[in-house]
Amino acid sequence: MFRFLIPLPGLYMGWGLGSNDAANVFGPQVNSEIVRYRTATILTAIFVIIGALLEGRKSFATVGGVTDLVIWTAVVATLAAALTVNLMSYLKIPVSTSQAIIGAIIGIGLLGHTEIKTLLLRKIFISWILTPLGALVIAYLLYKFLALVWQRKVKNLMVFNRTVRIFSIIIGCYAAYALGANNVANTTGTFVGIVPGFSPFMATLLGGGSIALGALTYSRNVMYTVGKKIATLDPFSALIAVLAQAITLHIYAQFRIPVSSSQAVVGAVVGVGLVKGMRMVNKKTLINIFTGWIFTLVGSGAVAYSLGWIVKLFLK
Amino acid sequence: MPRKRREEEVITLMDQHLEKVEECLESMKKTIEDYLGGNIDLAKENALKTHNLEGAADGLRRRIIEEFHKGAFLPALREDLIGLTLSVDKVADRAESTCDFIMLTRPDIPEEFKEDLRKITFNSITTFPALREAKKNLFKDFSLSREQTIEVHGLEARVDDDEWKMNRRIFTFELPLAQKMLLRDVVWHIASISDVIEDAADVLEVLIIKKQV
Repeated sequence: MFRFLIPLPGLYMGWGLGSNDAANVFGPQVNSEIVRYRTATILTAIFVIIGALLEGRKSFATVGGVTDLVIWTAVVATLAAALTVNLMSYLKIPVSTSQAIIGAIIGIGLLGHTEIKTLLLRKIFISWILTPLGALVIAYLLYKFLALVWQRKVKNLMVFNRTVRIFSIIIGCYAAYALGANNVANTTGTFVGIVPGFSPFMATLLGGGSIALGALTYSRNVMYTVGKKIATLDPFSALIAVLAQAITLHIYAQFRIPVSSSQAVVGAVVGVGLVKGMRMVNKKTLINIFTGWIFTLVGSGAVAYSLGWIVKLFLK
Repeated sequence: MPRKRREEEVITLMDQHLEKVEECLESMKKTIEDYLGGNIDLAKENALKTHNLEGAADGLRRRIIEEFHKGAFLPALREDLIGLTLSVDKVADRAESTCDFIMLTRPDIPEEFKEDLRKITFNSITTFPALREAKKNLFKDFSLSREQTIEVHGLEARVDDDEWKMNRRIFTFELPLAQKMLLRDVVWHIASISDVIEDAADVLEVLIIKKQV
């Protein structure tokens, strides 16, 4: 009877994801006043849903395959991940929904003594390490290549004005698409194949919709704080950083691994900085990211384990 | 108004502003020529005309800034373009203040210096067309625009040279010290016009460098 309520924690997770990560998609464009906040969130919502619908299902098997889940463990793991994301955001610790959901699944797996697929986990961990590094390399190469095209094509201020305007929209839409394609599995991925009648299509639609809702309703603050940091770059560099982040996420979507858009964007900004001979990210930021990484993974695992333990008592 | 039309409108206004500043310089030149020719009434008339033209340039400057605030161009460009407009506007301000200074102090200029003053006036204001073209080319061709800003620097250096030589002549000439100092101030006012033009060219150059990757 209440079957339709089961994926609710996933929607809560999606809402948190959308409100946090919309900044990595349209933050610089909104902060530079090239795109209005409302327009940015509407475009993010549309393209996140398209990305989720077209490519989102690719990572479902990865999220759901870390351990064997049943309905209640999937609900607890997703709820624990969502709560961790909310708590970490409240404490202003950088957080990744991908790490939160995998940490929670590991936690619930340890509680239930179900087999944890270490080979898959190893693949996921390596991908997480490679996310900022990959984004760095992509940003570096993109900058080098596109700067040549830019120098050849952008010959005056009118062309500069028009090009920045057009590409701000195109790159933002593509980044939203990549976010939907890569991250939707973090929201509803645990329920696919477990909840009767909950098809991958429904999972991508509801997951994508919840991310879209997060972007539409609660992304303003993060958009203006996180986005501002990227917007301190010149328009060309900021667009390269967003594009490199989007390409990284899109590539990982093809490898079926959800990764963090925030960590990708930091790598991309460092990559742009390397081309320009500037140090874009200080040691404190890197330490923040690393501690966020550990805290999210361990924290969501602990929350899932504790929550699961309480639920288990009731189920007995 | 659609954004594209607003941007075209701003470019038209910027062109009109450049023309008005140039008219201001021409009027200042006539004021100096009339003054040197001893035609004080005509000089006063042209000084008033310079004042009015500077006012008209101010009006255009305000309209340009208004259009920027209504949303013409990317915000990242607006600040730079407003800065450039203000720098160009200072040229008209300096032309007006030069006329004011001459008409107020009415310096006694010996015949021996009149030709030099005409020359430095001519050289100082002929720095402006290079800036005008550089600014117009900002919307057409960055590289051409940069070449023209470099031309401005060359022309300004010529005026600096004229100023230095003229000051040396003034201070080696047999004149009362007060007259020497007044003459030096006249020369400074005229030569400073090319300095202000060069300042605007610097603003333009920085803008181009910032927009190229």
